[in-house]
Amino acid sequence: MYPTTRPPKYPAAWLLCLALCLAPVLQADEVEPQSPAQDASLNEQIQTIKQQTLELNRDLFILEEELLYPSDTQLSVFLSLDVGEFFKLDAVKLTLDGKVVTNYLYTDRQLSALRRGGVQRLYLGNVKSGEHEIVAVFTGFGPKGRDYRRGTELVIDKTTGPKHLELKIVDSTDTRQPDFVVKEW
Amino acid sequence: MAGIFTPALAARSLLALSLLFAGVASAAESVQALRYGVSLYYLYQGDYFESLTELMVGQELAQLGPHQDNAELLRGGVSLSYGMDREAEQIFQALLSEPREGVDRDRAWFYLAKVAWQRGELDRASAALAQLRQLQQPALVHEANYLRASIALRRGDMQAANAAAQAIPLDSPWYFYTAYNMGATAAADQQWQSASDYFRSFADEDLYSEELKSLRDRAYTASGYAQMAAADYAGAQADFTQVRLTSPMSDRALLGYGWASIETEDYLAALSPWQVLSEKPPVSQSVRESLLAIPYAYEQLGRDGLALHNYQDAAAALEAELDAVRAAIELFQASDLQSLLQLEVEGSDEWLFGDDILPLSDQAPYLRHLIASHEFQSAMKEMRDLQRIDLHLSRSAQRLQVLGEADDEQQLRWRSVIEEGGRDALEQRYQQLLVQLDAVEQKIASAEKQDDGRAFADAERRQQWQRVERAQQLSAALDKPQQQEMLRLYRGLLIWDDSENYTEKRWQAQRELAQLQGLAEQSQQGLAALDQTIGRRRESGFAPRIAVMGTRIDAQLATVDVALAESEQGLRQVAVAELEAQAQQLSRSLGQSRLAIARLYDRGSVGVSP
Repeated sequence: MYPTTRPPKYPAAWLLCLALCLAPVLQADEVEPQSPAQDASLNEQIQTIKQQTLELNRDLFILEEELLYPSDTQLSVFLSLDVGEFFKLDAVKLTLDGKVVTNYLYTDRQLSALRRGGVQRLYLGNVKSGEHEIVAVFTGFGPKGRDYRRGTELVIDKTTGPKHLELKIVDSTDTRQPDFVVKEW
Repeated sequence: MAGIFTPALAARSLLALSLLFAGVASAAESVQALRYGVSLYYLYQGDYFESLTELMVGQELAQLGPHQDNAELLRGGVSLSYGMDREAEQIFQALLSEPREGVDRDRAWFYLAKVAWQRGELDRASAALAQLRQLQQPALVHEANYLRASIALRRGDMQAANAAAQAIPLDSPWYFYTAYNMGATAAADQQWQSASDYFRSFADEDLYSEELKSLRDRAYTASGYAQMAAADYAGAQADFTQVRLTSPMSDRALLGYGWASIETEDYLAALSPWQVLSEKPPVSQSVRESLLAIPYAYEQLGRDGLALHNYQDAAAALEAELDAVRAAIELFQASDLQSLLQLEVEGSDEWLFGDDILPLSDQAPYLRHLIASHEFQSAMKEMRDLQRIDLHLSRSAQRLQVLGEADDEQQLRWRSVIEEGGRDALEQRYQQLLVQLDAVEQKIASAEKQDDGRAFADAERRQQWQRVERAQQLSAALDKPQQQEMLRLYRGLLIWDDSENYTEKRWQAQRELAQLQGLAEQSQQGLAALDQTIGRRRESGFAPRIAVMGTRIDAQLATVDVALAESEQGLRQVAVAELEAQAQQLSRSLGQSRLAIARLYDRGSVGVSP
């Protein structure tokens, strides 16, 4: 038979919430310290797989460079950003001997990576020995958020050995304008 | 107590990443090797795989310049972030056992401490932290103090934890994480007031990130329950009201606010938050709890009719929910988990939390609860890592196919160059150029030696000279003085003319010589390059390397498949166990509601009040 009296005081159900809320927290990228009993075999296996895959990717990368971009014909163009206060990069168009070879649109995440010191490999290709004209057109937002479009050009002399160019967008504190500089490595 | 990740601590910002790699490179100009900069570019986007690949290629090809030593430290740090603590540990130990110039030893010790902490090796972590001398990066100094405090908390040494925590400034996120965890430890020791004091550390701070705001919501919720345990219900309500309604913690806070009211027998006040809660889908434990708590409050108010009605609604909702959870269990037991979860494998290697990884399936609400557990998070992360590796390997196989085709095409071209006389034709052209070059050189030398412009004579002028000399011989033989005089004058004119043009002709000849020299040099270089390439290709063809690479990729894909299956199985077990626990809890709640209905009907036979 069911009780007919008023229900007893409700059991302290909130104690469960208390237990759930009082667990320690970890920072977003933190890994939970392992307990000795934790089975780590799959984790160990995954670590081995990661390392082997990285080594495989490294070897493939080197093979690709040797086969597809041999040093005698290799031309690579990189892009870096210093500070970027006077210019918010939106896109870059790279032309090699009058032919567009790269048209790149940037995400905020990529821009942030560039601002923090990252260098982007913008183009990797092959050219014959001799002179070549490279034109880079940068579009984005300049001082005071205005639309901004600037180009820079360079004639390079490709000889034997790989040629590396770095397109640098640098803030000029004198003119309070962005400067676009090409550095040959 | 086991630590948990929660959606509330969603890592949508790059805060953690920026802290880990603070001080690696502050501006593009500090990068002195392009490949090192490219590695940073990927790293700062959370793409650890590509970042490590660039570093490893740079190390293999010695292209990291002055960063060479520091790059190894960076590789250790990135490996740690990529979940390769074993590799990271080896790197740091090697760096510390064989000191190299340019390597920040303090950072190596710091990372080593972090690896040990992650493995739960508290003594080793402490020993590594004790080695720190002058850690330069403030963010790492703060994290080191956080680690010290965390280790002390694990050992139950609150005093040492306090000392370490006090060294963390308020503007560091580690301050708040430390404060929270100290609060949790105090609460575990039933030091309720002390716990609340720690949880309320956030009170006056202007928090700058969503991550910290979420942590504050969590802290106030925890503080509210700690106050309830201390029987300070007004204090608990004050804490619960600090939690944002948009926060994932709001369910627990609303529930707690209601219970605090119940404890003071203010049943009407309890109803408001619970009714807000009960309007939500009954997927969270707090909402389910509110379904039973509302009729309980009505009963306490003597409104048995409303209580009965609400218990009936609760029973119906809980029953439907139980059916849904059972269906989810069947689905998780039988379906392909990878397609069921549909984890986003593109993008970065960073592990995202909460809604960022919530699949868009009918089971999403149950997964929301599931992913709050660290165990499930870890299992899902492992599976996603393997899926991403599988993707990398599939792309590697495609890249290798392209390489194979390119190599075949190049082989054909070389064969035509070698076998169809291409190289011989180039050699012949080069020899012809050398002959021409020799002729021009002799012409110039002869003209300069004799100071005679005749050396530069073109074909027409040479014919003129031949005609004059023949005519002079004839006229001498015929003894015709008048004609001889005319021919002498004509000859003088030619000499004078050649003499006048000598400088220009010599300049033209020298220019021709320079052009021929340039052409000959180019031909020679071309021929040398061709010979070098032919020689190189004969020595080491790419084909064997491509074949070996293909075998490695196939073998690795097979290994990943096996690991993926194992990972999926583990994840399935965790998911099903969690859903079964939910089903049990729902069954209990359903039983409670039915019992209450029966009780009220029983009472109703005596007379249920409306």
